[in-house]
Amino acid sequence: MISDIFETDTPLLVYKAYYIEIASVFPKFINQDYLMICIKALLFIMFLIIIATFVTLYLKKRDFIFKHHINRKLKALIITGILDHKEDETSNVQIKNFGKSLDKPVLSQFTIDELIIIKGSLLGESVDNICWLYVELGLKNISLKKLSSPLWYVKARGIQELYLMEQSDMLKRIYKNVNDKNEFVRMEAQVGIIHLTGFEGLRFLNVIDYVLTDWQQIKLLERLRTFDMSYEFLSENIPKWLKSTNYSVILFTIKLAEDYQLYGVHDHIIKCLESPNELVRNQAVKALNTLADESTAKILSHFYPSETYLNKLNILQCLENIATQKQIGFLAGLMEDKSDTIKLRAAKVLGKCSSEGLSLLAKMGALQADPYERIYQHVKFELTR
Amino acid sequence: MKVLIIDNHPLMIKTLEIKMRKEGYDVLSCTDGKDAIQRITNEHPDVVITEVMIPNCSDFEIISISKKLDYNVIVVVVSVIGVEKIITEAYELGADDYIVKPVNLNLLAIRIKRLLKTKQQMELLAKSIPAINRKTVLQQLADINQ
Repeated sequence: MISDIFETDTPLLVYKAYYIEIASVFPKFINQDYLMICIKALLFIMFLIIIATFVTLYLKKRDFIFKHHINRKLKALIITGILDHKEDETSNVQIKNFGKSLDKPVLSQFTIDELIIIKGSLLGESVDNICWLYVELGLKNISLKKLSSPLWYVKARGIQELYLMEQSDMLKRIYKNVNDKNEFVRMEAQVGIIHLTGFEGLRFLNVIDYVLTDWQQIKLLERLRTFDMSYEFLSENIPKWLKSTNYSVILFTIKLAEDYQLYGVHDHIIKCLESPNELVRNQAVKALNTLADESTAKILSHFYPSETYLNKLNILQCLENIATQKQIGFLAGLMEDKSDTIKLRAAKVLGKCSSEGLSLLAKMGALQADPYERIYQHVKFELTR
Repeated sequence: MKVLIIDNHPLMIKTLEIKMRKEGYDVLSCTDGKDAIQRITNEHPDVVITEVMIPNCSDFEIISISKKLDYNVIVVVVSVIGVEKIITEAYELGADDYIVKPVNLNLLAIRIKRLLKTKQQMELLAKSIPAINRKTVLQQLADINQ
């Protein structure tokens, strides 16, 4: 038996045993009947493959021809001057007829995609006309139908199409989705609201229960950059958002205050240092780096002892830019810390905050060479760089 | 006046084509780099409106080839790329204007008109100085203009 060989003999013998066993079974199948069955099965499989290839190629070609046809017609619409003369009657008839021919989802989607691409390359009057064309071709209704879809990706796409085509009258329908259970649907809805209304659109921060992911926050900030800042709206609402029960709203608000350098909300940001959430405190420290006033360094030193290791490092990094002579005592105390990283960071702040700080480091180095002399040399080198 | 439009998106080409025709120019267009280079050398357009990234040619080939021709062709780059390094390089190679998409068609038409007007003035000036080689004057004026 093979199992016996496994236990006793070399691999070569194992292979040989396998060969003998297979060779003894195989001849049973070598007869005319089995051969015919195999040939028939093979021919059937080949036939199926050929049919499948032809069907796929046919469908692809049909799609290509349809798309090509639509593309030609779309170009023709532009050629007839739609981009400049939207009140022309002949053009209107052409548009209606073209709209009716977009009965297949593939074609309507292709047209929407083409319009979105071309809109992205243009500005001014032409954009208004493209949006008008989108409505007149009945594509707006198609996008609206997508909003009722149970599939998240269809719904998200519908929202995206509506806001990219500047359909401000659909604001309420889009707004309903800002707190959707699907992350991508609510992200599109939130971006859409901002796209259509600017800073005012941030009102959705009052109602969202779900977490705003980092990517969502980046997308929102990016979209806001295309608008002029509404200082009054932000200074009125930021204190409210900073008290939100959703910690991601607080994080986003802090980033917003930092990005737009809203010095007026400095005190509200300081209150975030008392937050039970570490991420919020961390973000607040980062924002205070930009929004600091003369009291900030003292406040940060006050919060320092109760912070986590990571936030302690963040506070020291922030103090590098804002600490003054008044913090020398606090920083000198940190030079006794167990962590070498904290010692080094504190030394950097000492070196930067005043000349007295640097001379204090020099004195410490003279008293105890290891590690203070090395730290002093390091800080001195960094300052001269 | 002949305008050659080079872009990789057919609908964008068509839109620019319509606009330029309305402005009264003869319009040529292509989506391929090789074809574009052939048209520049054979058909001598007065203005070339081009994207930076075009299939079948390197990034700035169209600009450099247009500027090596023995007549003064205006090159306007209309591109999605708004990176400072690329814009600077395009200007250094001799592009007359660089517009980052999205583009306002009316403003583009005005810019082209102004560039053509300057070109015509330069040519008139060159003609009025027969003693000096016309090409040299044109080249010198182009250098000053840049």
